Amino acid sequence: MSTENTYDVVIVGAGITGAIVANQLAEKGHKVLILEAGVQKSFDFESYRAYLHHYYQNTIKIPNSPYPQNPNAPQPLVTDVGDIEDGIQQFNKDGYFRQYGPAPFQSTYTRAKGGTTLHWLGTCLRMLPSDFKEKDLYDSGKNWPINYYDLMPYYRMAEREIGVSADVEEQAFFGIEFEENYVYPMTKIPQSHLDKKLTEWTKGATFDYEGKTYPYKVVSTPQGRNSNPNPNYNNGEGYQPVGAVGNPDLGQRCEGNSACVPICPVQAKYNALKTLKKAVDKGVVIYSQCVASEILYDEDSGEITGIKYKEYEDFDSLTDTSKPCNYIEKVITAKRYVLAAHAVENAKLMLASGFKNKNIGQNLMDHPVLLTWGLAPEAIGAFRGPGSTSGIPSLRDGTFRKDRSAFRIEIGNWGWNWPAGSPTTELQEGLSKQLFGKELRAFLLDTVQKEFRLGFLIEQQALSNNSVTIDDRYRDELGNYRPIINYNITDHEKEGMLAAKEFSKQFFDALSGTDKTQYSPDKGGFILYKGEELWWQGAGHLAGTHIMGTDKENSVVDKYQRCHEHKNLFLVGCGNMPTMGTSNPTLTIAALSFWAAENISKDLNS
Amino acid sequence: MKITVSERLDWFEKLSVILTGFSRSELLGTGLIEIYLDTIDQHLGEDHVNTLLDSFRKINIQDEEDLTAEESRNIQELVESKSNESITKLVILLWYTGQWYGKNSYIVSSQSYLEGLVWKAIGAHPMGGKQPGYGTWGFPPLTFSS
Repeated sequence: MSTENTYDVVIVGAGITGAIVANQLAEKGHKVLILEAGVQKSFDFESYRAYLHHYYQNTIKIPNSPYPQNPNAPQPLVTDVGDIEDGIQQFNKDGYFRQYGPAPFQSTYTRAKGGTTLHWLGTCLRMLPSDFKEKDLYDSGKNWPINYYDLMPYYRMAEREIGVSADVEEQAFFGIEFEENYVYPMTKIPQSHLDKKLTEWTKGATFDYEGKTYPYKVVSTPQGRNSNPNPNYNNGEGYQPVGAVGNPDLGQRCEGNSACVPICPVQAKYNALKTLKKAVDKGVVIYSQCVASEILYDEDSGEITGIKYKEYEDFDSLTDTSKPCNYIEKVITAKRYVLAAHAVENAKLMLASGFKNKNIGQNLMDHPVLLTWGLAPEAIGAFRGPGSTSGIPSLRDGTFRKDRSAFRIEIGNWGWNWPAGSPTTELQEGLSKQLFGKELRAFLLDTVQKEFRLGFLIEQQALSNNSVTIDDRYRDELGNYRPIINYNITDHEKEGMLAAKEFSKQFFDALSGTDKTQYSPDKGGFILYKGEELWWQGAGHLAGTHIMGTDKENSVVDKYQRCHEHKNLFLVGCGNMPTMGTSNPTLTIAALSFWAAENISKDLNS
Repeated sequence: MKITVSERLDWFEKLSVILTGFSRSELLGTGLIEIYLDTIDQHLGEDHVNTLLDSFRKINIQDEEDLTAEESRNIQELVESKSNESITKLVILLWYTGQWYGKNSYIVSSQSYLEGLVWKAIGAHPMGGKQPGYGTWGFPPLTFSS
């Protein structure tokens, strides 16, 4: 087996966290290599366009539909979660995850260069200060070993790297603070017509629940997509938006393609290819088609001595959809190692390497998303603009977190596309009514133009039973482990969902809309709780599989993002998060990656 | 009777106008008429398609974009008839989604997805294409329901 040793740092994974760490370390003069499991070698725009055409031509439009399944580095699909039969949740046993339930784990990620930012929505919310000390404040969840103020400068770096559009004065709520005179790189993305009408229609009304009232305040969401540069950014220096990789004039502004998930055709929405390209230009090397399979370490000291990986043969994932390839095994060594392969993949890799820390793989979290939907009193023009441009933060924090989950409410601009498969479902409905021609058009226009949906991102507590494990019986084509998932949701979260469902009812009443939420009891994610029908989906926010904390008993990494038991190994990504609060996690892990890179560089120089 | 290629295309075009509710120029603008007729022929066989086109021809429509009451009744009858119901639905689905709905469903091409009439029908644009431009989503929709 060949061994290579020319690098200061080897990073596993070319997603947003690996890209940021690589770029920052290269900036400081360190020699960096990234091992990437996916097949994409080039940064030309045509290879990205190939994803777009794959999406257009895929009959199933799901988050991973532009990104072909690769048997050498398979990825989970939302369609792997089946229906509920005789009260038992069914799973596709040939899917990448081997799921044991009892609840379905419905989130996915992308194993390709650029990672899951290829299909993320782009929401860039900071976490609330209270989310970092939830255990102390509410005796719920866990505490972080760092706080909001520790992370503030790194949030700023992340907002610059991603290129976040928001107006700072709208974002200071629930104790979120910004440095004096801070502005986001770009001004806020215009709110949708729907957002504005919801504000107007619910003015003065409140959500009343358990003796408390909460305002229906619709707030613009910070987003990692290009708008107008703020001339006041960076003390008047301004900001230059970053366009598409390989076609930089494209994507300078969001153009309203309405396909952020699963693919922005012009890359006006940030993806990690942008950071990776900068890193490569600074000398970072990426080995594609190289799947890390084992971390080698010294049993006594815990020191990492190398990473074993499988390099598979050239493979056109767009055409050779089922062909597994031949591979050769190699080892790479460096002074420091970083796992940035995704929460699930990082945990899997450490378990496959025989790491002893009992917390590895535990505390798997997501944001279960309760979906509700209905019709506005008038046409609001669904299916236009980014997937979501606003949310309602009123229930993101409060003393109620002692008893039930907090949630953030995301307002969806794409009609009932997520919960009900619009507009194809309405088309089929029209045809079943024997409609055709102008009557069919009128029926579709009348229905779909008024559609909108709400998504309630329910905070989930980190629990040891929700886990990623491995099992010798379940491996992929290269002989690497398939993740085994055990997952459930607790009454704490179900109580949050009850509040969310009630919110939705009162909200539709307040705006004189028509609540059309109707759940099928046989669909994955359906539950009956205290007589109320609830149905949730995954948010794609997989987190918590190697959390940070104060010692090896309660965590895998310390506050520097370094493994307690392996001093030359750093972990990055959502796996490090002991709580997620109600924020979409990408901005926070980007911030943590800047922090990690700083620590790695200091460590290398010491 | 013998039907020429151009006659077939002409009838398919007129029938499509009536089934979709879109004008002839809008359908021509997709650049997909011949491709769709080929697609249907390929899956259902030319004879089957000819039977439908022949039934349509017999109604003798004067202006497919402005039907008389009698023409409408005849068309309704044709669309709902046992022999034609499923094929007319397939034609509508093909035009509206760019997808052939059969035993093996597939999207004919990237172009057919982007030209799917369903997006125009709902007053929007295909997800991932024909982008309306920065900030347009902040304005009221241009098309209102009657």
